[in-house]
Amino acid sequence: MPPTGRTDLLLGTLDLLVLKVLELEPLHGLGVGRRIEQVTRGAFQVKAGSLFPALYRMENAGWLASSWGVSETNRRARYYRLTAAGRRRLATETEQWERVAGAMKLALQTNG
Amino acid sequence: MPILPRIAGVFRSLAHRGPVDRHLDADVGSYFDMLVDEKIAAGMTADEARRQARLEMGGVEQVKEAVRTVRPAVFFDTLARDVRYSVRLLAKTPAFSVTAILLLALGIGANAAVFGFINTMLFRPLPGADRPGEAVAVYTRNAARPDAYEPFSYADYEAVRDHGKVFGHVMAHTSFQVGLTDGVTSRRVKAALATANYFATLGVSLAAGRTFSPEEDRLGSRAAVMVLSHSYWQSLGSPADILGKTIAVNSRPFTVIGLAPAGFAGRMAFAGPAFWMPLGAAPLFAPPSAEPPALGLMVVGRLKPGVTPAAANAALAALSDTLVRSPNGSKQVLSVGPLSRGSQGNAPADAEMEPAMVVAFGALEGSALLVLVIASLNVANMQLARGSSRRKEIAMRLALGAGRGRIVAQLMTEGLLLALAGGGLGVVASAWTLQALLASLIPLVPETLSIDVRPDWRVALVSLACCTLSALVFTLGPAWKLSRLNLLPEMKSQEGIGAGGGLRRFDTRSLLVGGQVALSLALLAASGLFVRGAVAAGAAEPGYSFDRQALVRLDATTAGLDEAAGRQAYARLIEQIRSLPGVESAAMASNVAFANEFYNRRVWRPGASEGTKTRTRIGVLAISFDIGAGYFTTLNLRMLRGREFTLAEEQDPTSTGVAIIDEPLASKLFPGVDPLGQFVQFAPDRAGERPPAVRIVGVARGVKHRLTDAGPVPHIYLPLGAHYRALLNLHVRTGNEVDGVRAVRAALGGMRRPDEGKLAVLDVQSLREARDSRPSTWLVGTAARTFGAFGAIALVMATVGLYGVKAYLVARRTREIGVRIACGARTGDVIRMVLKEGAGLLVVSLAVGFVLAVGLGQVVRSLLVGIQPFDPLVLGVATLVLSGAALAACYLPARRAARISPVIALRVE
Repeated sequence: MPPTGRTDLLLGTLDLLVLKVLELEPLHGLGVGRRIEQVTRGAFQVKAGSLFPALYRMENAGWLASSWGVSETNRRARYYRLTAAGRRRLATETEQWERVAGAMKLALQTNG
Repeated sequence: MPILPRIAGVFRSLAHRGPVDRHLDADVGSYFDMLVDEKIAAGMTADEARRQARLEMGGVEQVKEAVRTVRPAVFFDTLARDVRYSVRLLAKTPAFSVTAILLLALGIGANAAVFGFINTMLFRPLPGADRPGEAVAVYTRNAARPDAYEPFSYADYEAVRDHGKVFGHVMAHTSFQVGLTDGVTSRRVKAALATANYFATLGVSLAAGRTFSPEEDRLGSRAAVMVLSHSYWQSLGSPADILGKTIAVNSRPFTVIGLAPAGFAGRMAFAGPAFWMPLGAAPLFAPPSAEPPALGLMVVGRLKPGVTPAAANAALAALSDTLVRSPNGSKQVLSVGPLSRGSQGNAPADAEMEPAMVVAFGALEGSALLVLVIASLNVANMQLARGSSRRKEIAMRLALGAGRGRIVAQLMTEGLLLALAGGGLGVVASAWTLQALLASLIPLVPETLSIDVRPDWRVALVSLACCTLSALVFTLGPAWKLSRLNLLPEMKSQEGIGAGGGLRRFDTRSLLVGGQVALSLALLAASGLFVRGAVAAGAAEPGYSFDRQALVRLDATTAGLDEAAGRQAYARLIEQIRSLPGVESAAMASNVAFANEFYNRRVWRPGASEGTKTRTRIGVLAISFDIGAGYFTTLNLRMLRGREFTLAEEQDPTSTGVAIIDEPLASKLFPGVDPLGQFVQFAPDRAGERPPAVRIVGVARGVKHRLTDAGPVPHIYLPLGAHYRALLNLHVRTGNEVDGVRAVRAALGGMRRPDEGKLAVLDVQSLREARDSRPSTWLVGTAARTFGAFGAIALVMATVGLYGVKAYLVARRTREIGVRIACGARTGDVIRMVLKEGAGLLVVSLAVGFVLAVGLGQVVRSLLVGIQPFDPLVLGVATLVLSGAALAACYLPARRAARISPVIALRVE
């Protein structure tokens, strides 16, 4: 199903990506999706069907906050930003991810 | 992980379902619009851009739905869906639903009734204590002796009242018995003397009228006014124009000025005075010598906001130093404590609940829970039976992708709905039952009961817990089974042809029925014990025969007589009674066996305080009676040694120094010694003075005093001459019980002419009637009726449950039975086969139930009167009754099965 060059999102990575791209500046939903595409150089494409549930879930968990703003194309859009709890979450998730990634890399190298 | 925002999120999405959805609409909508903008900017036409955007997004509604499933409130959405679905399903099987609801109403209603009663006794807040801790009792005690609490003097009350730093309101009150004349007999009721701020301190506003004016409140005002309690007003027939009317109390008219609100019983939870009168009215009742210091005032204060009891105690300590008792100059110490629910007095009640009460409440609540469990097991069985016809529906839902959790959740919702409907019905029914029970108690109790048994939030909470518990019991098992279906055969097969479903003897359903039978046996046995106890209590005698015995209760104070006039009136009265035709003997006594009141005194052998034996050093607690001449003769109690009191000792105030003890006391105080001519002495009085020792002139046979006494208990009898009693019992032995009571009643009526010494006659009864109208007898009888009802309900439910299962199992085996008959089995063989299978289950259940019954008997043993907790008769009868009912429940389906025509049976498919 995914076109070549694209990778399925690993379970749990979407949260980390959303937190990461929102760390810089508040973005609206489409903005989040495009920014993720951009920073992963197109490896990950986030569809609205997964993006919105994630945004709402994370807002409910208190990691994100949202407010209405105006988009670059002059549309009224909901902007999401990190809360303090979201920043803490980002730190722990990043650390965790690096541990896992490092371990995976190590494991693959020793075998090869 | 932050919990609070999450909870806030739930509430946000619950409270603002609309806004949140709109919010989501706009959010997803703007995403779509921006996506279109993006595509247009990339060079597409508007239509093409829209199409591409829709493709990329995968549908606006789908996105929104995806968000909804992660929203916290999604739980409530599915709940609402489950509720709608369950209601539809239950409405489709009305017979099942109504039966289940009725069963559960019984089970939950029993619990609501029992808990409603316990709630009123133990938990419902006292009037004025809505802000807990604000209304507190104030105590004063002798500084030298930490446990010597004393009543307040009026001066001390004034000092506390005027202190003004701790309390917003302070009131003083005392209660005593007064007589209300009604034809020949008078009725004694409890009345209270109180200061005007009594109601304000307890935080209560009158339902009508006014409280005492400052003038009426003034000490010595002799104001003959009263505020009626709501329950006393109801006993008068709830007259609307009561204010301004007069009521004769102790033959003196009092004007009604106010009416207390319903349910208000003074400072205690359920028993209170019939009416309140101002403290200034005290001289109208007591002899002139009894001025307020001798009234025995109790003080209650309402703490100022923010004042803790500890702070109040500290502030009162400073005040204490200024209070000095005049007689012996001892210092007083003031303290505050919580208002007791069940008692009022000069000392804090530290052991508020007697252990027996806890056992009684525990046993009641336990039995009610058993009834609920039995009812739930029954419904579980019905669910299983119904489940077999629902298998297809559930298998379909599983096949369509419903998770097992969703199926269980829906079944739970259905169960809860049933339980809630049953519970609601049960709570309403139980409130009515409780009212009826109370109505039967109120005439027996000398106090004015203001028991408010209307269900409150506590009852609602407990009933809700019962609903949940029972829903869990009757849903979880069946739900678990149903959600683990093997789909394919279930969807294909027709109903009722599970291969060999009835062959396993102890399948789930049999286990459920077995449990019901076992629990029913335990309840039946317990109810049998209580019925036996009630019968025993109804025939109990203290150690002398009640045959031909009549009892007259008299009160000289309610007739307004002081001691001298009272002595004269009593002497004249007993003389007249003794001379009545048909009266063989008559005697006066301060107390009566099986009445709830008794007076315990500690009795020593003189000089024994230096003795080495523990019993002689700490003395023996004996029940103290003041009696007149001929007491033992009248009751047919033979003297073991010595003599009775003489007429002189009955009447002469100087006849102190003599006593009669009974055999139990003699054997404890004088083991191996002839007590006659020996001396005994009593515990020191409050002032620390030891009363002079008394010489034993006689030893009487032992008798019981309380209904629950296992055998005779120590008594000490003192002559009435030395101890005047205004409240007296007159024992009369007559030739014939019915005629005797009638003759005495007629004679007393003749004597009650206004110009004679007006003696207030409280009642004239045979001793039997007196015993049967005691509250303790009522309690035993009510316990027997309650447990009996529980036992009967359990029996019926278990039998019906057993019948249902048997009938079902036999129906499932129609084909097998048909084959058997076709192969030559006779009717008797088929019946025997079905009964044998039933009997196996029955024997196992009865064995378990037997063990439970014996255990339950041990738990309630302290409540049983005159019987042992292990009662072979009760257990035997309970087992027989249950086995009989159970076998009948098995026999009916068996007979039907045996009559099956093999041709029809084999054609079932």
